[in-house]
Amino acid sequence: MQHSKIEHDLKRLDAPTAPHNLRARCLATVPKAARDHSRTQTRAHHNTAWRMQRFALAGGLLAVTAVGSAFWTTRPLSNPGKIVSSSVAFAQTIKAMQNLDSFHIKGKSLKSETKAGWHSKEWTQTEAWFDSQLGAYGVVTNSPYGSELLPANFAKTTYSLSLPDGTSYARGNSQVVVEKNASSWQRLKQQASTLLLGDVATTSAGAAKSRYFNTGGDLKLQSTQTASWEGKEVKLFLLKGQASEDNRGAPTILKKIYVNTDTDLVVATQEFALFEGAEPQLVSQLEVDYERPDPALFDPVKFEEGTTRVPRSDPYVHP
Amino acid sequence: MIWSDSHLLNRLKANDHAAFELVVDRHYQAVFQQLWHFCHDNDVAADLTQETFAQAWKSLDGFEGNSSVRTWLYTIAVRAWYRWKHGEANLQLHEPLDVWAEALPDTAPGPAQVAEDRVRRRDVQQALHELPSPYHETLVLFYVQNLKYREVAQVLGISIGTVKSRLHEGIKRLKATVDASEPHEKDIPQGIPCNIQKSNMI
Repeated sequence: MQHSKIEHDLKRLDAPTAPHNLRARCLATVPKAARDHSRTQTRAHHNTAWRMQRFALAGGLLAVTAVGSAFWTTRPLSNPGKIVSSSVAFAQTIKAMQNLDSFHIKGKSLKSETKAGWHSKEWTQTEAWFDSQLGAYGVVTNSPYGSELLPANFAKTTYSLSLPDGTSYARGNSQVVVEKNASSWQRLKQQASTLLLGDVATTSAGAAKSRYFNTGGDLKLQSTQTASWEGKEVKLFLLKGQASEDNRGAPTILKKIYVNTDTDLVVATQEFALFEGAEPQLVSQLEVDYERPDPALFDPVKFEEGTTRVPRSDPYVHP
Repeated sequence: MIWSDSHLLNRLKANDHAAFELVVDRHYQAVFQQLWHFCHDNDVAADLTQETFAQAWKSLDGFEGNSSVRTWLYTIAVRAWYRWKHGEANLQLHEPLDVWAEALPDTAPGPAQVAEDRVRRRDVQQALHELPSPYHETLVLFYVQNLKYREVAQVLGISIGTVKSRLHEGIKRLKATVDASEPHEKDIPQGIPCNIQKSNMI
């Protein structure tokens, strides 16, 4: 190819349009003294909801039509209740979660615009099953990946399946894209162990500086309380995001982690965006159970039924 | 009303919110696209765009107006990109399915030439993305962002001569990569869109 042709192509390269909320995000960086209007953007902590969706995308699901009504009642924050544990209890929960063989998560989160945790007003629903021996299967409805990464004509509900042999399937509408990567399953397993507690684990380890500039700092354990969930007494860890050096005008996050007192396993999580002078706004909510999933969920033949297969496992070989 | 850069700068320094808003409106798309060409990731480009403006306000007192507001912002964006790139060097968090969408066929009909041009531009874009720093940044600023030699030199803090030599070497390397990646026609199976074949080149 000629130099001039390359130069011509360079001048015509496309780039995506900026996300619709980027203007508001940039305006949120204006020095406080110059602001003459309140911000309307919400910023939510990226980690759990983002990981959950990524996991479900990488792992597989069925359309979640409803996440049910809720379920948690806690004692008011102004009345901390009985202190049942400290960071030691936290460590126990982290350890228990890191040794999981299987779980099932179901939940919703305000649709994430970016990994940094900015949210739109739309809810994304996710359900995923994980079995360390069989695979991971997930469904994400109204996924940010469905609307941003995928072509416009692609389904807003995305199904995916990952198997221990490294084969990954992703399905939307009538196509299944298949690829094989020997290390992908190992990565997925690692992700599974920190799916719900990644933030906590980092905080507990004391490292904790987020690699994204506007996540509002790290979640730090505020208190441990008793609460009830579906009539059962549970431990409730309250964590609060610390404002970063420059908060960029976004609210911090309050995270609630509900833990089974007998098993130390997480049964639910909630995240709230904290605005000045306003009620906390729910931005994410998850339920977890640990029943072994139906093996039929991980059947690739069923997954591919009625679809066109687009393989990516055979690398293109240049002559 | 159209404000000149010098007037805009005075208004910024006077903490005029309308001036901040005007700067954002004028430049956030271009800054985002510049950063996207650096990182090829919407999320990272959006984060770095926001960071660029945050850093811009912080360094406002030190900005004397010797360059245009656009050049000033591009300079900050390049620094934000270098900081992020340095910090991200050991963090490869891409999931295997992140990229599978790229393999989906584009079913839009069009003349063969349009399709060929698109494929070639994709090759150029991919080769640009793989081009090592600092050629990558120099080419993006000069060709994609359409800055002048002098402006590229200001943004990157180098001489105009260095800009020219980087452009020359960058184009040479880009051409070598694109030439090497062009498949022979006989190697493309019938019935499968060409762009799928391209994206399967792992």
